[in-house]
Amino acid sequence: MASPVPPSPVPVAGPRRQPHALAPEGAALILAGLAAGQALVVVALALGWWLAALVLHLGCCLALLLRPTPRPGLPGSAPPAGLLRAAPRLGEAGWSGAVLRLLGATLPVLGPLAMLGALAALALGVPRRLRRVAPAQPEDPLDARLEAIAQARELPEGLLLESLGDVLRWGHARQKACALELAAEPGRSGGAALLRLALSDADPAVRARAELLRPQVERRLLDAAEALRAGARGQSGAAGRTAQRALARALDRAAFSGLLEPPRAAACRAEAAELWQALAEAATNGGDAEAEAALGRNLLALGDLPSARRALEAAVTRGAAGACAIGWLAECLFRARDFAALEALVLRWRPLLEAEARRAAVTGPHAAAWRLWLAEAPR
Amino acid sequence: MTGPDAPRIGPEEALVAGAWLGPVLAMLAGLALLALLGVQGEFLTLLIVVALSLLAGAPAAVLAARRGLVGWPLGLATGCAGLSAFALFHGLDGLPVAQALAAALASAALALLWVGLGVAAGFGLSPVPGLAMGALAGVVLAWLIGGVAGAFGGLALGAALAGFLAAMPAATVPVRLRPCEARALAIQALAGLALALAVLAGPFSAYLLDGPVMVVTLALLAALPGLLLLAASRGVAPLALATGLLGLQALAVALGLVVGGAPAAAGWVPAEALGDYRLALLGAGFLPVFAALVAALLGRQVLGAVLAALLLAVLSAVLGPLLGLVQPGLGPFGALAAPVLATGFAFWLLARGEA
Repeated sequence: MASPVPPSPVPVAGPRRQPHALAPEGAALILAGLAAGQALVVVALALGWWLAALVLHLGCCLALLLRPTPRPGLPGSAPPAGLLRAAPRLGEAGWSGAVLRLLGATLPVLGPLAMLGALAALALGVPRRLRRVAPAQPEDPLDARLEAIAQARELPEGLLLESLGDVLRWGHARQKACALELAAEPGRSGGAALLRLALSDADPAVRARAELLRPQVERRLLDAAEALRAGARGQSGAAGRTAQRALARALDRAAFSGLLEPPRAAACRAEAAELWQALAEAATNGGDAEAEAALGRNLLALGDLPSARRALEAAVTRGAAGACAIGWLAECLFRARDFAALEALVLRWRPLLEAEARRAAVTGPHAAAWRLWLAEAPR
Repeated sequence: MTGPDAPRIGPEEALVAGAWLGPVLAMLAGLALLALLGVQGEFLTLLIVVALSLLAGAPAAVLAARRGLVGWPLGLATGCAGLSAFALFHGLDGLPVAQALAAALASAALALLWVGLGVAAGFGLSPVPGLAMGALAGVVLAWLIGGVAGAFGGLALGAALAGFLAAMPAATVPVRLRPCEARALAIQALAGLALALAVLAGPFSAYLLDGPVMVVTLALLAALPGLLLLAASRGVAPLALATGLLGLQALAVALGLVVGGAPAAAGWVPAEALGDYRLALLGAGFLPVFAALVAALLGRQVLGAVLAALLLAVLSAVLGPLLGLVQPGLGPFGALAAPVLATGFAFWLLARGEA
């Protein structure tokens, strides 16, 4: 995801056109042309020019049969196969399209009479009774969900991630694009995680779209860190430490969002590591578990395993860091190939890890690994 | 008769009743137009126009009513009706192009009308506004053109307008067919064809054997009340419906017998054929009952409906001449015996399916 992606051949920019091959104006144009042709046929019939009428009529039929039809397989162009009777599509476009369809079956034989029927059907519009017989087409649940998310400004990150993830998984192209737009909105802090998921999506169109949205989210994350940096510059003492902590958190968020270019992410991690180091050293009694854990995580990501191990062990020993820090320490030990220490870690924290593996059975980042280690480790 | 699916909402009643009602009403409308324009002696042309439209349109109408399928069956039906009528009138009878074209268009438009009425029956919508509009436009056009061509042109315009408007709901719902449905669709179309044959067999065997066409056709009028009731009935258990129809038809036939002298006085029925007319009237009284039973069969076992309708067609065509061969005076009894026997057969099929 980090390498610069070449311009995608998939047309993703801009609002997508609805995939109706035949717009309402197109149907109206065809109908008007056919009406004119059939009027000429009537004139020829009235004058007794049978051959001219026949030729004109055949021309009309040919024009009707060769008209552009909605392409099958696109959303909205056809009812789902297997449904005997889908709900009728009764919009203006649906009605004129239906008139054209019926005209295709009747015009070849009935000629001007069918044309008159079509004009009458167009003039009368959709019968009120039919509207009542056929209720409005049920709303697409994914569309409803997207609409609800778009309206709710404040949404828990997990819920946002899950909902938009569903859309990315089950939705069609337009819905996926809409979900990514929502995820990239400035107010959605959880959207970055979704974008990272979308960058490795199986659908190349989704990948291209996410790649297109990535720079703006990256810029926003870096801008947020820059603003905090400017705020922290002139302060000292307790206020300075608070500002530093906020800046370090923002840098962590940007660096671990997975949306930054690798050099920038590395720079962010280095800066965050320095800040966390300073915070951990400045901590007085009891130490600063958050700073140590975050420092260890950054050092782990930067590849400095011994320092990361020291920081994480300090955080874990304080006991306030939680399962995440234990997970990072386990990863650190694993990468350092110190399996004896890893096993000792698992044995030491077994009750906590068991609870974690049970609680976050599906979503926890380390749950599967914990389950494996817990199963393997001697009791 | 009170099974879990006894009160069934289905288009079958209206569909089967329409197989008789539609042609009869179309004949009446055509005759009225011809009379309005002062044209005499085109009864047989009109009968052929209606018959061709029914033969071609009934299978498509059944498909439209039961599967919501308009499209290629409709195109095929209108094409068959129109081309065969044009070939018949222009090629065989030597009518001028204008008249033959008008008659062919009328036949094709009536086929469209049958399909449209089938759609209306299937969707439970009323075709009456479209019919009224079509009738008005048809009368105006007929009056403008005049003559035989005007009468048929007016009929064609009215039928096309009403049929197109009635068929529109099905066109809003494109139906996708699976290949495995081909056999079921073929049986449905066959049921439509059998119904058309059952309607037409009586008049046409009379026509081909130089029998009294007018007698057989006029007698159908006695079935109108029962057929109208059947077309309007929804969700009534078939045997209860048949019983009620029998009662209604007894009244209608009695009325027909009371005024039986009127057609003879008007000159439609020759005085010596009045006895035959009465027998045909009695036979026609059973048609609504038969239609109700066939409608129930059509909803449960389509093949049974095909068999019953085919039996009526064969009996109406063959029974009279056969009886006439056995004993010269017995021939007219065929018109009574055919509906009675076919109704009995349909009842037996239905009762067998219920048991």
